[in-house]
Amino acid sequence: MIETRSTRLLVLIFLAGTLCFLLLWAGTLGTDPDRNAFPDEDDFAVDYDAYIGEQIKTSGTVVSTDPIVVEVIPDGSIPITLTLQSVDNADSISPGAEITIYGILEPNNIVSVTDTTVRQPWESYYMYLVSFLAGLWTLGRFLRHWTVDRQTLSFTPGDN
Amino acid sequence: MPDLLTHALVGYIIATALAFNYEWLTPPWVTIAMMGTFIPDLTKIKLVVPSYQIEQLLGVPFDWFGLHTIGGSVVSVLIGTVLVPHEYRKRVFALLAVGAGSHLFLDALLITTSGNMSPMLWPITAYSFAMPELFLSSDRWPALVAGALATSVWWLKHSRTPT
Repeated sequence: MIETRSTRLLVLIFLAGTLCFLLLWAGTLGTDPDRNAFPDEDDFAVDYDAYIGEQIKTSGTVVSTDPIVVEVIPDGSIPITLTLQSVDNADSISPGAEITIYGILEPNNIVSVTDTTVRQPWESYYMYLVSFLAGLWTLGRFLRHWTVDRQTLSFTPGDN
Repeated sequence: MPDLLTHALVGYIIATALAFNYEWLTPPWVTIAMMGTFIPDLTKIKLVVPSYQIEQLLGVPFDWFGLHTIGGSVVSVLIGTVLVPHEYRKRVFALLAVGAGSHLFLDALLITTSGNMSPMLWPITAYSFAMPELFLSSDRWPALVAGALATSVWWLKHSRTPT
């Protein structure tokens, strides 16, 4: 079963179709605080007043401190700025930092903060760099140990 | 995610540790477990092509997050499994699943602002469960700890295996 090029292609097309179906289905989920899926900037940017007083989750870049102002970019839309209130860890927040925010949406682009996580720009670069290196390491191992059989579209391990 | 280096190292550690019990689990197979750890983060395609752009293109709802779930990972693991001859399929399925599973498990322990993991058990449930929080994805210590463990397990393995 599934050893020839054509049967393998057929099964791969079926699995790829299943994956596409899952991703389309995933797109329909939406927000629901009852299962801890909170509205974000894509929701309240469209209809701000509807979300006032609700628990929201969002993320953006710190543009100024005292008060802490964050620029948030909704999908395919113009950036909006939010002013944060009652931030516990204000000392660790500096302009340019990436911040994720969990809090209550208040009128006039204000968020009453419950909790934040903060990441400095260099920490993101570090993360991307080591992730890239891990990819190279693993790809290198794969190319060294495995060979592709174009006839049957399959991979087989080498001797060591 | 913790960084992918941590994930790949954890895949290496688990597979190399399993190799003490399974003689067939040689370096090419360790690599498969490491590749499995990359599977859930296929969702990072969103950094290149955001979900909303695909929604605009197709005119229907779409979200890459489905890849970073049990459902998306199972299908991805099956794709990998089909790509090897049948005598290797059990091994490849098991090792890719171990890798992808370790990734999702570690990601469930990420520090989040609301204290809940992402809904990675979907489509079994879309609920985001409250989880213990161990690290931020940009923390450096997980990779250091994983690196030390990987070195230890590599040394143990090589000191026991006559070459």
